[in-house]
Amino acid sequence: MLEQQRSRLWTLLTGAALLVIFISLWRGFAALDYEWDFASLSEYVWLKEERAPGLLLTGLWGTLWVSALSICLGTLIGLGGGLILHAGNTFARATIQVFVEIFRNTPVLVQLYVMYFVVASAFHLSAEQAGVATLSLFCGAYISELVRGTLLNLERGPQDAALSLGLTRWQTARHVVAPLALRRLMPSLVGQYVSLVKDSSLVSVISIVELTKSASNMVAISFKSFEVWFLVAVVYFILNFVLSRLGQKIERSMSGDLHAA
Amino acid sequence: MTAAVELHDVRKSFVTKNSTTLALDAVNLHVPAGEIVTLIGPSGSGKSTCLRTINGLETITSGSIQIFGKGYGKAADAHVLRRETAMIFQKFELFPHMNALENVALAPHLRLNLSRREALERAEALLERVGLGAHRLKYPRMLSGGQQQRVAIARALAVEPKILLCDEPTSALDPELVDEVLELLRSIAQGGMTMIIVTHEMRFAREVSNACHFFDAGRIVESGKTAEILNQPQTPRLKSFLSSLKNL
Repeated sequence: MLEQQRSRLWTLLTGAALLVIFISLWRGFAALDYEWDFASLSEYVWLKEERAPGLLLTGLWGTLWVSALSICLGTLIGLGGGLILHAGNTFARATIQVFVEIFRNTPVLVQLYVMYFVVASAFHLSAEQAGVATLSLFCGAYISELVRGTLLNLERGPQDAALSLGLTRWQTARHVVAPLALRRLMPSLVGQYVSLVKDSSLVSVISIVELTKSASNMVAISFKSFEVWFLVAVVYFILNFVLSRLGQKIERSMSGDLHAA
Repeated sequence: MTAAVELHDVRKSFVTKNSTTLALDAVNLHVPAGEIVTLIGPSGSGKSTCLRTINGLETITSGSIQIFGKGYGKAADAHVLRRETAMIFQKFELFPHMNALENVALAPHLRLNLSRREALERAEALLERVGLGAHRLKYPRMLSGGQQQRVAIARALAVEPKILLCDEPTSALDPELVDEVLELLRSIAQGGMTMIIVTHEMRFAREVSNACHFFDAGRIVESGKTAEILNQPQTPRLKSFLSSLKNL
């Protein structure tokens, strides 16, 4: 009985909140007194005459490859860093710790500037290389911590069992620890990837062509800033929504035995 | 005849910030081949730690461990110990991401270098033997505690150990599941396996084991033939331990 009342109260509260949000948005848009014109954006999606992708699509492609590459490299860095944090000697551990702290406690924007104007000019790196390097290191720092935490909290029992059967440390790591740790790691890893895709918008400041950069160009040309940013937001949302769902799918397939009855 | 397991003056200490705890204090243990030995004692008395040192899961601070006369000191390779021993655990510790068959087949494949097919065949036969042939494709979470422990026993037997170490094999089981596991251990014991069993099941200890060692505070306080020391305990510690069990 109480359960039912409580449930009804929650429904009521949520409904009220939604109503408030809806009304404020409605009033906001009404107050704007703006004539929405999404149709004219079509030329930025696809150039009919040139039969080529428009600004939006080239930008999307930029975001895709910058993110994908940074995610891959970041994951490698993170796995390596995490393993060292977990099992490395004191000096190696301290080094990784410093790297992790620096990249976790400074804004990505500042990291990008330093990488682009200091490191990149010293080593003659392109903007793209500097951008991907920064995002990879940034992502890698977070993943290092995730990996370390996961390994630290992994139950010892199955590892003991594997060792007691005479498996080597390496075999135990490969056949028992890695699958268990990866399964535990997956949700937070996907969260990290989603936030990296969003952070990739920052590389626009060192003039890498990606979605956000394209969007500001589109705004500069068309003056339709509302429509453009709205559209771009939707594209980011779809991108990350697909990514999360994909992650959930992988997660489920990895832990099939946990849910199967 | 060389003993299957020989512990000589084994000490193990844990060093914490402001104190040193002796988990094992000069433990001597002599287990002839084919003998069933039970280790009893209150929680934290060192019996499980002692069992784990025999398998190299715990390092020792000083002393020596010999398995069939082969030495194992402080720094030696734990592999020497694990060549002849296998272990089952209180909480089964099956690999949760593998089904029963894969759990049993993993070590024969990786450690004994059987081909995948041979390993799976052996696993299938062993699961049949522990009465779980029908459950071979199930994952640990889909099995009852008793079934999981039986899979764990099959997994231990799969590496053809000469010595089976059992760490409280029935403590985590619901009362109605205890018997199926004890039944299986009994049949393994009758097959001539050397077994060292840490247990709280005095009835089982009495029935299955030749010798019994009573641990208290990291020491073996009393040892002897199981029936004798359980019927006529000599030390006050064992007397009070046994009477505390009777009161349960």
